[in-house]
Amino acid sequence: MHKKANVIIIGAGVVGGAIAYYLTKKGESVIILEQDEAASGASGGNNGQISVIDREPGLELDWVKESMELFKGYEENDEFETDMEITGGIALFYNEKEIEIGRKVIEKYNALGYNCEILIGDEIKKQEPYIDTDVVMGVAYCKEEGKLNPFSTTIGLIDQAIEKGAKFYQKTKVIDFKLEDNKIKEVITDKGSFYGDTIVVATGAWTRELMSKLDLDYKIFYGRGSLMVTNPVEPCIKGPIVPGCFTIGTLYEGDWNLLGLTQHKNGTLTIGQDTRSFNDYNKGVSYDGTVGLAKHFAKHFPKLTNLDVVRIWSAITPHVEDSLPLYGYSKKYPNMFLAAGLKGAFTIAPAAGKMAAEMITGDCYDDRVEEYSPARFE
Amino acid sequence: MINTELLIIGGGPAGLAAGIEAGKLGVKTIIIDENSLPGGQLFKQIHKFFGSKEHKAGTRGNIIGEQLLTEVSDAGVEVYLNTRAWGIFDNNIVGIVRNGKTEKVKAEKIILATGASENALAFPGSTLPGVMTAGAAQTFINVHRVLPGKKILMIGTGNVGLITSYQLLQAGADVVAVVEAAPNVGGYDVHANKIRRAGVPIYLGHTIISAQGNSEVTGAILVPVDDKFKPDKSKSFCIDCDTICFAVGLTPRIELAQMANSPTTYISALGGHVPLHDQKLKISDSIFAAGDIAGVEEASTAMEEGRLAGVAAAMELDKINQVDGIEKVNNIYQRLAKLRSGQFGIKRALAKEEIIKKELELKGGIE
Amino acid sequence: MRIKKHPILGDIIEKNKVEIIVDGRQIEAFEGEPIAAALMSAGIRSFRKTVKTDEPRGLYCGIGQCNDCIMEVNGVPNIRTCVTLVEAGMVIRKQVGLGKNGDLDD
Repeated sequence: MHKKANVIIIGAGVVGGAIAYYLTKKGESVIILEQDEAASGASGGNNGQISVIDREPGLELDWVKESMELFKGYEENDEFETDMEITGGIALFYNEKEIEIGRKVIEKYNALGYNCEILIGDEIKKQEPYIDTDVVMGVAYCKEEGKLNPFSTTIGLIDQAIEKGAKFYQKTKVIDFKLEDNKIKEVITDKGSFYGDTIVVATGAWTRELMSKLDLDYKIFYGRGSLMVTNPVEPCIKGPIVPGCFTIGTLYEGDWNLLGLTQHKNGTLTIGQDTRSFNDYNKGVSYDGTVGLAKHFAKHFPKLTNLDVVRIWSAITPHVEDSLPLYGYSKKYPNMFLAAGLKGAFTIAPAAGKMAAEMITGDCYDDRVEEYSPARFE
Repeated sequence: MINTELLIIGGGPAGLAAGIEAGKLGVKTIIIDENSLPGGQLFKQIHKFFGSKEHKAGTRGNIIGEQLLTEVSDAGVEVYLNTRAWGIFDNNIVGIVRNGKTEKVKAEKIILATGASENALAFPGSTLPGVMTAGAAQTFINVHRVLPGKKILMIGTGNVGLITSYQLLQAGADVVAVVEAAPNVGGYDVHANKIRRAGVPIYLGHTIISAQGNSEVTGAILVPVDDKFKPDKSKSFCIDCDTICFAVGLTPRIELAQMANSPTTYISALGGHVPLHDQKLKISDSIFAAGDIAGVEEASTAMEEGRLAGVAAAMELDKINQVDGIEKVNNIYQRLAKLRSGQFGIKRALAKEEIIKKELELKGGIE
Repeated sequence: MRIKKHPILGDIIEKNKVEIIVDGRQIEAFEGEPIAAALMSAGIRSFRKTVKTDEPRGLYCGIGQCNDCIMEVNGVPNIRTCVTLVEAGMVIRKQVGLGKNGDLDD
């Protein structure tokens, strides 16, 4: 039996899910292929934070703004729950130098209409009362940041696409492609072949390995971030907390200065260590990494040390060499559309997915995406 | 960091037996257990065990437990109580929490003897206070000496359900009925007859469809089922009770095996997903699984599996010469074969063979 | 209800009797027994209320596996009462929803 659709989407993370959602909304026939399960990669393994002040003004920030409206729409239209909450968020700084850079950074966002400020010492406690201000010297606060539930959002998008006719094949791994006239004619998986006019590659960190089968070498490296989740507790962390280096674009010295966390609607906290680049696709966690992260958290939140950690895991995230997404049509294989390497993809996935769907159906084209073109690595 | 030759996770029958064998052969061994008392679930099993003399037949589980504790300490094995293993990592590193503090253990060999957990049923009211596992009731009456309720309804007629019912009677509770969806009693007739003689009705071909009560259990609704287990709600009736116990099987606790990347397979006769292991219960180069984690059976088999893993680990650590080691192992195989014979045992024997066969296939040993 | 006499296990060994406070009420308990055993013997079977629907929960697995019997013990929520042992003067509260973390009070 031939499995055919207008569009084959490889990858059932939040990006693949959003593209499927908007394509099916336009009446396109869609097949989603996923080597594991929905949200089983970075989309399910993250803190669910909505971030603003680590975004580039321009298309990326416009995507943020539009995505906030789209997130609200999913819930208002009773499509699925995102648990989105705009709580304000903070980025942590540990010394004067970082605070000074932070000040310049937030000016840029305030000029664009966002509400950001630098909080010092006790001012931080207005947002996060249990943070130790002897450890954290200051934070960059952004009122427009918040959090959502990464699982229900990703799965909600995919379920809606399925309701509109998308076919979803889980545990179906793409192993090769067949070409004809420089176009991808056939997607070969361990469960048989699939055919589509357009092939969307939304495979996150796995993209480089997958694309090597087409003799392409997109410079996407593996990042690994470890997270732990606690048992549910009463509200104690208001908004998302991220490492300041994401905002000011510098690297910290020392090992454990990279703490990010969120408390979720059900009361659980996810506490993460920053992603770093690795050469292998290793999803393992280590004793030292886990204990180090727990201790680092305890140093920041000395009153929250009686939480029980119930699970730890790591997620592999994509790190593109030039930090820009790979987004748009391949030049070499013109029926292949890439949507990978979108950093902090959750915040921008709805708008980026919507635009991708419009580009694929030919309804719209925004030339600002050219900067993201995969052609730069081909 | 704590260094040891052998780390055994779980101090129940399998873990203790493994520790005794390894300790006697001179292996530096640590057993950790999350409870304040080792012995796992042996201390609540105050009935006499079946089997042959070498399996301590005729001895009560709690007495066997005490004997094992003495033997463990005679064998020079260290036992860390109130200690949980929270993770297993590359290079045989195990994270433990002892007295509220996390510590790192590096062991040359690791035996997972984490046991099993009891299965649940879901129906309206199944989460009310008063609904509990049969094991919880058994622990409370026989270890803590507290009755979980006055009028008990038991769901399930495997040996756990039958024995616990009898022990609830011994403890002074009223067992109002025992319910079984199948047309026959699941456990040994000997146990069923004991509770029948005490006047407890056994409803075969019945199931529970709801528990009544607002803040606690006050009753249960039972219905007959047909041969496809479909309930006939027109024939439902109410039973007055304040406690409902589930004795509906156990599931191996394989989390640590999974974290150690052990492949698993689903075998219903052994309670669910079990880690693949070889003849000597090895699930990887340096990790063994013994007892209920490797397939739910009984305490007697768990002890023999523990011994097997203990001897096998000692052999790999060169604490016993191969000839003597193989002799010990063969003796254990013979005793295991006896325990896995008869109407009930043979299914488990075949299931265990299936695990070993699958493991071999995975290794590429069989074309 | 305590099982004072038992045909196999014999008479109960009376351990050190202590007082604990459960939702403001003083209860007699044995030092070193699980909190849940003391509560059950005092006739208390409802240990907490669930987060979303306020449903009652009590003892379920009895050996620390399931987390259904969690309560607030000395100001710390989510304590498994079936495996946490009684100490004299313990203050135990029914956990409502996620409970209250006493460490957060100044």
